[in-house]
Amino acid sequence: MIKFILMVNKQGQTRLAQYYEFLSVRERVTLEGELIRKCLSRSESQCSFVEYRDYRVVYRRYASLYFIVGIDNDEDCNELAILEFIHTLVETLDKYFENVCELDI
Amino acid sequence: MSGGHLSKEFFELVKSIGESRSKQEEDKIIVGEIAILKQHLSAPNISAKKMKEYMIRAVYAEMLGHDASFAYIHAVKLTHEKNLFAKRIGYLTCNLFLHKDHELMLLLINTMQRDLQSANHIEVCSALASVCRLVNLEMIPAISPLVFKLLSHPQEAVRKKAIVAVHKFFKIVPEAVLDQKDQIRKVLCDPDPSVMGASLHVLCEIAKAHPASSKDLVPSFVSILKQITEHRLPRDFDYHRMPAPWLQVKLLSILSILGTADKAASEHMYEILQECMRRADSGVNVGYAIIYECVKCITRIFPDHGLLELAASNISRFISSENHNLRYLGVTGLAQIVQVNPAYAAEHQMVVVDCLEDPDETLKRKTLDLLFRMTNPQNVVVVVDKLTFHLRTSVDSHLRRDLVQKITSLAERFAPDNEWYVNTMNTVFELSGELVPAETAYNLMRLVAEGAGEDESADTAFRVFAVNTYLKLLEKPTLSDILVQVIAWVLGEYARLATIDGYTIEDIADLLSECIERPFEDPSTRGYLVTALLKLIGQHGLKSTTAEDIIRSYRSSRMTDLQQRCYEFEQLRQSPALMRKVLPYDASCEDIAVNKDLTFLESFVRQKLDEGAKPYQNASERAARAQTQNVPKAEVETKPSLNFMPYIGPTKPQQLPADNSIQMEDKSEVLREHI
Repeated sequence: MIKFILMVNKQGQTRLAQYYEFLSVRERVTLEGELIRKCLSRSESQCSFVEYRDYRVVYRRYASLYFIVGIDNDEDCNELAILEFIHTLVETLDKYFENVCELDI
Repeated sequence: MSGGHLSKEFFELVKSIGESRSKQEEDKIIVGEIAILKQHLSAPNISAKKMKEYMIRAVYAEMLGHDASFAYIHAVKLTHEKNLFAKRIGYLTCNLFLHKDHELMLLLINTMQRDLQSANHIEVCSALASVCRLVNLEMIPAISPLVFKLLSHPQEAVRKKAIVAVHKFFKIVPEAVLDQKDQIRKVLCDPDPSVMGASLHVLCEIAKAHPASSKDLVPSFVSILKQITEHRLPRDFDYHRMPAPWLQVKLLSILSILGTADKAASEHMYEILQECMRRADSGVNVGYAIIYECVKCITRIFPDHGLLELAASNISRFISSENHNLRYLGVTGLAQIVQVNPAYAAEHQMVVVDCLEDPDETLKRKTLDLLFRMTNPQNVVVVVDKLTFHLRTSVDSHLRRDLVQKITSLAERFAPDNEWYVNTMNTVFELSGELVPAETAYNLMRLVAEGAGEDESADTAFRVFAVNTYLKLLEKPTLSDILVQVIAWVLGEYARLATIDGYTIEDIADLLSECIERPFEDPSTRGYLVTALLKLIGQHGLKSTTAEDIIRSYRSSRMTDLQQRCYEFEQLRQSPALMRKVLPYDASCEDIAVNKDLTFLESFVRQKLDEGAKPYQNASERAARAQTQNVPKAEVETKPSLNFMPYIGPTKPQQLPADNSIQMEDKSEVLREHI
């Protein structure tokens, strides 16, 4: 089950945050900060899946924006399917905005 | 995007945030914005249009990490509006701001019920979206009949949202949904594929909870999957020429749940699995995702040799690919195949070892997982070595807890001999004692006490080994609590077996006393040490002044457990024979015989009765006596627990927000009293 979807840029500014489970504002801020630091520190040759606290996190970088999706850990979650879901999301935004970029968001 | 109805302030806000260069700048802008919003919202009679905009700005502020709780109540009020636009924004903001346990939820339930029954399907949709997000346990009886009725609404958007709401109900209260299984099954056959797809999630959860009841749906799922792979769904569902991949993945996971250990059900699936894997092999990431799901399915259902071969060959392609994501999937998939048939792991050993050295942390973790599943008595020593190495070097607490669990379970299952087990457990205790559960320590102590059970001399040799190791360990300045507990217990029981030169019983007692002074996380550890000293002194008749001093000083400790032990020690010390009887050597496994009737006290009782003491009266006799002697007491004044005086009437919300919230709280107080 997807727990949250975030779009964060390289400077750590959250462009979009959608949470499917209640977390207080303070928890959200810490979560976003730690996650973006983790994702930024990974290189291109490492895989797009990270384990963080008790979630599994799938991320993908598009230009300067990181799309981060957190899913339940230890479930029958297909990480690659989620990765493709992120891509579908981007394609849909692209269709809607025509050549979407961070500013649109 | 038309922005004609939005004010200039809004534009300014968005622009400035977009242009801000750093997080601090952004924070400053938002703080300013919140102050402006507070001011606006405190004004009386705000039009719906303006309110909409303020709400959106409040959402913006919250999204960027600042608290905007002053706006919540306005969001709830906005849902009452007749204007559809305003209503939708009201619901949207409520979804984002509130959560199911929020106090303002009570105000929302009524509106939601009304909107769920409205003729306008857009209103129904917005209400349903809120239901999905915000429903809690108390609301379900009120809302669920309405939602179930909506499952047969003519609009498919409504049906889809309704089934998602049903999914949420299931998560909270499974019973509410299980009664309506037939209705949900009808949704599975819905002509609109997106509604059908949404129903898959609920059916998946039901299948996980009650596989037996869903077994008859296997043919339906298989046929749906077949239709999807044959491209019979509308074109819109294709993604990179792959038909409805997420639906395929979901169907495959349902099938894997239903086919576990069920030969008949699994046989239905073999053909479609093969077909699915063949078609999914398209070189796109999505295709690989479907293949991975198929592999997972194959490993779970009743095994079929041909399919397993196919799965294994696909996994070896993944694991040796360049794409790191595929390697990750390959390792995870291999871990699952290995559980069915360990032989497949052998050909990939080199690759697995490479993955272990990979700088990528996630891959390393998954490979460790794979190693854990591949362990057998031959390679257990090597595997545990690797796991221990990672335990030593990693910092993340979740990973460490995981590793500790793995190492302990491996050690318990496959230990080649007792000495190795003790050594491994000692290392684990040393490295991360606080993460080890207490049962592990008990198991270890029991092992030392009972031995392997066959050979008396081997047991004694083992105990000697254990005592020697622990003696040496005690020298270290810092040890984790659980380790000290184990050491104390072992030394207390078997110290006389120590064969290291230079350590007499007195030295051991001194060491233990010195240990008591160390700072401990768990106060009961000192209790362990004191008892160990007790045992030593009792069995060997030691006259150790250091030990006695320590115990006397702890007699006044705050911990009653420790105090009691010290007092018992003082009493017992006065008669060494009694002490030896109470603390016998090597008798930790024998039961203590308890004489329940306390017959040995008969003579004492008789003596006291002769001297004139009152005989014992049990509780009922005592109560009967007390009643006859009772003086009737004055009636206790019963104060009414509910205040029936009317509250001051609610005034119109015209004042500052602080007053507003107090009045709202009053209202909800009244509501709660009357419920």
